[in-house]
Amino acid sequence: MSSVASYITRNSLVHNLHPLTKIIGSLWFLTLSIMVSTPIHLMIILAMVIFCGFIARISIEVLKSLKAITVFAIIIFLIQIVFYKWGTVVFYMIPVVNWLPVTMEGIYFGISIGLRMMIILLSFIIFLSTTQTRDMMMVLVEKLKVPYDYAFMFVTSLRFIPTFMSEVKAIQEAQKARGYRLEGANPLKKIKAYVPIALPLVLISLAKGERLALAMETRAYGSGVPRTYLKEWKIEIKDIAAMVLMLSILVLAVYMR
Amino acid sequence: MAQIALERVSFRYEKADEYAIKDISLTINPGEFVVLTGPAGAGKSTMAYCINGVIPHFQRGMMQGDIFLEGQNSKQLTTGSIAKMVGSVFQDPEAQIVCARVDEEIAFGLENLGVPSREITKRIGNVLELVGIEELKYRPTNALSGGQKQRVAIAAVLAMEPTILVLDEPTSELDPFGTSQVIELLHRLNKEKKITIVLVEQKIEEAISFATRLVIMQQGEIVIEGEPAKVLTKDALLKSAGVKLPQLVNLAYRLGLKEDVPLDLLDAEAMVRNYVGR
Amino acid sequence: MLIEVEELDYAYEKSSHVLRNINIKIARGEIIAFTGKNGSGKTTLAKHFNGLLKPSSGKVLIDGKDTAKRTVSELAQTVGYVFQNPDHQIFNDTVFDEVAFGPKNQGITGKKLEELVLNSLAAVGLMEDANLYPYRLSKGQRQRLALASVIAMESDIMVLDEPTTGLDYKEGLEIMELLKKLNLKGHTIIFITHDMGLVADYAKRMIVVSEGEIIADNTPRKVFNLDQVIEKAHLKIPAVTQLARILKLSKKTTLNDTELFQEILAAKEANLNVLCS
Repeated sequence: MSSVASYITRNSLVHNLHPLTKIIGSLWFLTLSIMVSTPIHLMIILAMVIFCGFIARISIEVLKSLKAITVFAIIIFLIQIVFYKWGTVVFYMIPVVNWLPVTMEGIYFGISIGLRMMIILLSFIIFLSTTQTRDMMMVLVEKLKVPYDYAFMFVTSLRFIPTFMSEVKAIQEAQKARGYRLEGANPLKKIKAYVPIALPLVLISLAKGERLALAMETRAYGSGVPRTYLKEWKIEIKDIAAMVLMLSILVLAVYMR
Repeated sequence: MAQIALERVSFRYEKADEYAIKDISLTINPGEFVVLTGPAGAGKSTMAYCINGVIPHFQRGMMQGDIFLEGQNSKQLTTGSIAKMVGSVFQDPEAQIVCARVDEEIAFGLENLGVPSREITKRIGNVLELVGIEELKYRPTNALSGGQKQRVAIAAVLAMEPTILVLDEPTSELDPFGTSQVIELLHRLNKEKKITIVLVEQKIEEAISFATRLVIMQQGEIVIEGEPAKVLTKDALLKSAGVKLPQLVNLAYRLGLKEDVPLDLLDAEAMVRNYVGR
Repeated sequence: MLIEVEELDYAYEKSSHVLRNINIKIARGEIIAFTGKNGSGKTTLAKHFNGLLKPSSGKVLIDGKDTAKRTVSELAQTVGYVFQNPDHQIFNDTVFDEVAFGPKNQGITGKKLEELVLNSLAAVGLMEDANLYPYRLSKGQRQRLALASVIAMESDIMVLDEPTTGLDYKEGLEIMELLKKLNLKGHTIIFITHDMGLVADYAKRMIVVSEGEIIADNTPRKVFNLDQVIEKAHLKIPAVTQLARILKLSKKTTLNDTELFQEILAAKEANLNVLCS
């Protein structure tokens, strides 16, 4: 769970792009994949996404996610060809009774939808693996004018997911050691059966939250001074170059349609 | 001039029936290393809160008396200016780390104070070196050991360049190795950087030889305070306050040498050799 | 043997071994301390006794039965486990109900249940607080409540993970005295701790874990004398033990201040005798 789409520390061109450039980049891939519909062109776009992963020096991680995404895309593809009712029938899924026809157009459409999924998912995975959450937060606050407290709350809650998970595990173990069983109860009883886990979790999380608030307040959080950032991103030549490149390809794609 | 002055301070938490601290007066001078101890519920944490501004600024409750930091009344100071004066470290290593990476964690307080980015980078380098954890700079904070987390927490408040550090049982969840690392760091900061240390602790054995002052609390009041060697001569008072005496001190009591108790192994060795007559 | 661990290996993932080649035999009625740095594997090892963790290879036998074939709730009847933080388990509205949770899970009801709960509360000195809301109790009392909730399950073996951490001196002593009493009543006690003073005073045997392996298994007196073990596991041996080693008044390792006191008196007397003759 945590290995997919979480930040991977590397030093690469993609990592060093302005977070805003990367947000635009992901949206650009999304737009492009919707505009284009032929499998060949979509393949080219997918190749471009994968190429970005290589530049970001996370090729192994990209190939790993590609494997998982391909499985997902194949399922989407299968669903599409079964439900696509128009065009020339090539064969039937269940031949003897001529049931569930598969058409040429259906296959074509299924491939396009599958490829589109792959492009969109992979480009977002690359974005998330090359951009730190706090840099995203900075863009949200500074460029997109989201209030700092909300953005901060979001980023901090991400930081506390592992803590939360280990608390859940500790509580489960403590109750199991007292002979507590969750398995086998009927659904109505199951809700009641979660109380021994949920209640300590809520109380412990509240206590942790209070302690965290104290630690933040004694470090001048919310002191009213206009805040600064450790890393201040500036739009650089490489960002402008990337945007120009994206814009020209987009124009080309529109022209080719 | 006293750096920290509590003048007849009492505090009762919201919803509590009793006062956590009662009519406390205490002054602490620049460069002191104060160890504050006592049983659970003695009011130790409340004392720490009074010095780091949590009382009266964040904690709800009833307060009487005045707290002065560097001569200014804490009530009139902003939380930002208290944060620059007093660094706070708490008990739970996990719940006081705000950010996902060590360098970001150290930057957090400085960002809140509006310190320019270039200055933040400089100070991160400086405090990592001062605390001796340069190698942790880019580590994810949730991969650190308890002892490392506490040293990162100390580095993060040091980056704000405080003159006072208040630590509320910073070693209670650490193993002996982590504990020694933290206590030795505090000793060094006190000696080399002249930072005033107020350390709330259950286990006083290790810190006691570095302390300039020992304060014993019980039921919201200060029972005894003064130089450690002097305070430790009051065996009856200490025992009734429920303080765990260092083993070497206990040995001195047994030998009937309670007027000159040893604070470390060297003292103790000299004491015994002298007693035996060699 | 009540507990037998044979060539236990444990790994979260294939690559990283957390425990390696662990062999232990524990007899009924022992009181043993497990020590080692944080992250050394001592808690991981202890969690094998009640089946929370199962060996990747090797065997753990409790009362002759393989833990791999039994569920945690089955094992709970033989092995009680008190976790470091009592707040990880407290969820009931009253102290009484909190203690009753374990025995109820074992199917005990009615008079027998009430009797068990009240006896356990009496054992830890919380009898008067039976109807209180558990979070009204102090940290030390909550730790005793957690202990009572395990006592009520009448398990032969009790495992306690850092039972005195976060408690003050008196609260910690209360817990340790309770363990001593339970041990005298016939329970086998395993406690995890960093406090070598407690080990010296309460444990008859100590097991030192370092980097997933047992590097010492002997009496505290013997282990306190093993410099390499002390250094490797970062144990902080009691100040009087250290002092006795510097003074070299006696050949055996000193465990507490009473022993050292007597050695010093003996040395003084010997010295006087030398001076007189």
